[in-house]
Amino acid sequence: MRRSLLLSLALLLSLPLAAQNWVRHPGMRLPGQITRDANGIAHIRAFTDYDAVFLNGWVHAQDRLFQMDENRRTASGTLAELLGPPALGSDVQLRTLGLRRGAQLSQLEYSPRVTELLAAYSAGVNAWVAANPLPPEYAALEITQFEPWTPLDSISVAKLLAFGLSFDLDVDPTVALLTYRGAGQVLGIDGTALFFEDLWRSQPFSNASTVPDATAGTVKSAPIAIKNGDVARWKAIAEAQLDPNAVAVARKYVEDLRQIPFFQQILDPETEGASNLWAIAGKLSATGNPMIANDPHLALRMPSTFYPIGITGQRLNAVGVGFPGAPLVVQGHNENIAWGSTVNPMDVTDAYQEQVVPDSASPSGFSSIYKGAREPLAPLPQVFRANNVGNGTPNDISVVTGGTIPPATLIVSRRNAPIVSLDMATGAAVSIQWVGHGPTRELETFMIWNEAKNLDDFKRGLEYFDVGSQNWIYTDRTGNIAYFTSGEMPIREDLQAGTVTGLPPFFLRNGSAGGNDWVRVTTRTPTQASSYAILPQAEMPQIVNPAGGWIINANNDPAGTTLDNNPLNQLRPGGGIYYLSPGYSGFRAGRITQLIRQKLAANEKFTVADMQRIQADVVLLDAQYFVPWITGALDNAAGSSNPALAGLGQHPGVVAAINRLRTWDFSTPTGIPEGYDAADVNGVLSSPSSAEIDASIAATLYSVWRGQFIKNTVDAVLSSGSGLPRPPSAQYLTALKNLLDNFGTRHGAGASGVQFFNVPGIPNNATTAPTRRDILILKSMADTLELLASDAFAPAFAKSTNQNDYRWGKLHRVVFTHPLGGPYNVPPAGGAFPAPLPGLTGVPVDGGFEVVDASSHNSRANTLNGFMFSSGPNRRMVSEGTSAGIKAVTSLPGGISGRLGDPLYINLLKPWLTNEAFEINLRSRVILPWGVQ
Amino acid sequence: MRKLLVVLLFVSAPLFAQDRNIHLTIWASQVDMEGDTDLGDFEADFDEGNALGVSANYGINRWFSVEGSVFGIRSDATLGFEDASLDLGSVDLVPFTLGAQVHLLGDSRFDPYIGAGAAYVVADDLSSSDLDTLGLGRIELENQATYYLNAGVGIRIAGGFGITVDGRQIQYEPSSRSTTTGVEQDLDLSPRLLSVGLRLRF
Repeated sequence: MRRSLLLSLALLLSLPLAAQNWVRHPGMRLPGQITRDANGIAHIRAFTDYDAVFLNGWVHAQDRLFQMDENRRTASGTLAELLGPPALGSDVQLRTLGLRRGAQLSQLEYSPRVTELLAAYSAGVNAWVAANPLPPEYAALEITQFEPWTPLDSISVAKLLAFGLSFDLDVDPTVALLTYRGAGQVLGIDGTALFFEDLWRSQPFSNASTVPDATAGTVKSAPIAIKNGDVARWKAIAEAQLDPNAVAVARKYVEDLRQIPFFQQILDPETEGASNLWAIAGKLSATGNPMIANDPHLALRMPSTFYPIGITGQRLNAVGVGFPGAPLVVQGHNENIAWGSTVNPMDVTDAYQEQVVPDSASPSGFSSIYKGAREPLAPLPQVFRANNVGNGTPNDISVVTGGTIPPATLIVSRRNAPIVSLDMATGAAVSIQWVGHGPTRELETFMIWNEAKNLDDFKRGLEYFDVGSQNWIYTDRTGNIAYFTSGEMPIREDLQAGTVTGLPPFFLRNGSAGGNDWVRVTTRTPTQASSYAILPQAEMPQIVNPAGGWIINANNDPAGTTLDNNPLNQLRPGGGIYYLSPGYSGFRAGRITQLIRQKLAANEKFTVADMQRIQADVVLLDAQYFVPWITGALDNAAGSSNPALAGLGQHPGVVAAINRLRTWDFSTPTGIPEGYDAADVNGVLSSPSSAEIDASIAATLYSVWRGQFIKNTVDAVLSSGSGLPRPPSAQYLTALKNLLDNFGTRHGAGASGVQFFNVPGIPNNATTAPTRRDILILKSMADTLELLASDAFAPAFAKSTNQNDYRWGKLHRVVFTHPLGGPYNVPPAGGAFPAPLPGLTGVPVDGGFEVVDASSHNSRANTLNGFMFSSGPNRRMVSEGTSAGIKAVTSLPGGISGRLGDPLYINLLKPWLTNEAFEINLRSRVILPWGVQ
Repeated sequence: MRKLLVVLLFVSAPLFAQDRNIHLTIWASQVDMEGDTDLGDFEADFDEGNALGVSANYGINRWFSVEGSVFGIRSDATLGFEDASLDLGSVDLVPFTLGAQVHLLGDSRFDPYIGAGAAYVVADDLSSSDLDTLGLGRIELENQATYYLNAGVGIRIAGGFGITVDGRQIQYEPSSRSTTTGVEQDLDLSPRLLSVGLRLRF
């Protein structure tokens, strides 16, 4: 009740304040108005869309200018001109990848209306800059001038975001596969099976799959995929060869990228884009109205990625969030519809091995080899500059040459793909082809949706969302719920021919031999931006008003194509392999599906509060699976004749720890008064209950056990000998689940023949397989207790052996990082948010590995700061479609303003930390006489 | 066309007056439009304006006369929303009137009178860059047959010359229509003219 009252109060406070004066800044066509609500959110109202978007640019500049500048410069490869020489590495890589080049192509494709809005936005930014001093970050960088904002800057920012959501490098799996195959030849194991069937499984942790689940399995995907079970393909993959020099070049490229913060986020599975969304039909809700929920997960930065805003113009009328640097509302609602999205990891990037040769006839002096013939590489000369920060001279920006600075980018014209890495000695090179290198029109989508009237308008907008593949959830005031996927998915020539030439698209492909190219089209469909053949919208997974009344997606398999661990064995309706992605996450979708099915089984109707409770859920799905194995191991140890197992079964600490897990509900509260939990109210902390403390201790024990179990099983195998590449964090658990699921038949061995349950010091033939398994499970708990009491964890637990001290909040922490670091980070936010735990960085928050309220860490975590998280919900939203319009509640991390010291710098953070939400309302449209609006 | 009518009136009135008890008056006017018209959330605001006019007055007897007049009225118009103001351009009206006047003191040197009659108001479209920006194009104002009331006093100075001060209200509540949307909206302009005229008696 107390929570409800406070929430009501918060809702009241969130109503718009008294209207502000209408203003007509230079460059505006007519007056407009910016009203700040109690949360500081700007609600823009103008007579024209031009002026509304002008003020959109104005308030972005007012609150987030430095972030915008950083974004455009990151995308354009000119970040060093702002931050100085340390950013040159980022500039070189992003200039080479060519987001700005892609933006230039996109600019040519935008409609006149979007072009006008982009001009309005730029004018608004520049008008603010002309009338106000630059934010303090610039002074710290000795910059007094602001390069005027342009429409191309906004398109570049959009490209950057799309890049972060859709780019993938196929190098790690390639290196892993080739290494496994090589090891297999030496060790006599099946290296290909080690990759595909044991460790890098496509099959997700849970079977949650959006369209099949929504239709109770009656529909697998939009095109009914046909089984194409040819085992021979795996044999072909096993035999596919790549140039070792090219693989080495690719490997070095990835290593270089991992040194750059921007790419660390993209390449790290724990921080790459993810999200949750689901919909409940009116027939399942308490009010009879349909509802959707959405929480996109992105890096938790200061200022936050999203900027909440309401934009009301002549036709535009939407409220939600946008990106500083680009106009319009990208997720939110208007008078008629509401929408949200999650990342859909469609494979829209291919990396190719290339053979480059000197060629005096080529403008660049180099050609690549394609089917034995030379094809000139196009040169794009580059000039890099850097801000010489620290010498006291304002605006001291100079040209940088030498070292690793390339004079030009080389482009493989056939694919519009830059050479991203080249070994001059061998000519081995890697190029990257990405859909976003070509023209794309995502802003067209948002313009249409910001003024959409119905589902047809929404579908029309969907056709323009070309890159940054997303799953979309939709509801409206007429009672519809719907799910769509979007993005231009290229058709590969070999897959379209029904086969895989060489390695599949999620590995390094052969750019020289042919057969792996994207199919070119001479005539594009009316809404197509790419010059390559793409999967038609009709073949993309989608569903409208499913009979079951609910839809879920949390980056999981939308069509169920990977549930059998083979993403390449379905066919398109007209022929060709139906391929979307090599794999998906299944954790959060699995948990949300559980929660929704529990509610349905109890015949209870859903409310907005129920949707928010699901968003706040911090239950570990993997613990539900593994804890019974842990408790089972202890039970087995009690009667074991094996001394090692029996000994572990009598280890007091192990017994106590596992008994804690027996009564655990798998939730992950912080268990400390300084910790922020969903049970706290409106950002105000309260002492944890005894149940929370118990769950918190269990969360610590299990989470550390997880890493130790991986260390003692899979990693123990991979690190033996010369060391084999490790799978991504989540796939460790998929691999272990598969091994345990098949333990009865395989006894701990994988399909490769590798035995993953080897007990150090005990030959495998000296124990039974279940005993070896149980020893490792219990040993991992003993190792956990040793680790928690060690020096390494002393700042958290003071080397205590008392398990009551192992509160999860001491480990599960977050720092909201700012590019300039130091006081800009949260904590400390310039002193406004001191670090709550002495000697420990970050803010303690509930959550954990792949929970719904995203706050994940690496599954192998085994250090004091290894359980910290850096990615999470950048916006939580629940929207309800009523006949009177859309009602929505939301919350965001951080604050409105990017200015340190501004009261709005972290004004939204504490309620977000405790999962509160506030109402966000659309402002009424200006109804003109003579009926334009 | 309207300018031509005004010119014809100027030219023909003296000719007509040569053998009648006729006054010809040239007017300079201060115009006060009805003012604010409530248009939903908006308010159309027609400012004070100016007018020039001419009238011919034919005395039927010493108590009654018939007057015909034409005025050219111009005032600025704005469209208000909260504290914002949009330019509607200028309102150009040409009201033609024909009515009767009662001379309260008869045919005297000091000639107070009251009158009423029919009017026909010809209006130009409203146009401005703000209207264009709003996508409304021009706002067409309906030409309207209506009535007017007036009162004034004439003072004979010497010979056939005199000065007249006249106040009149022309009821003008036209329908207006956007040339782009076609949507109509009723307005109330009803100009009130306070005029000073130079009277020539024939």
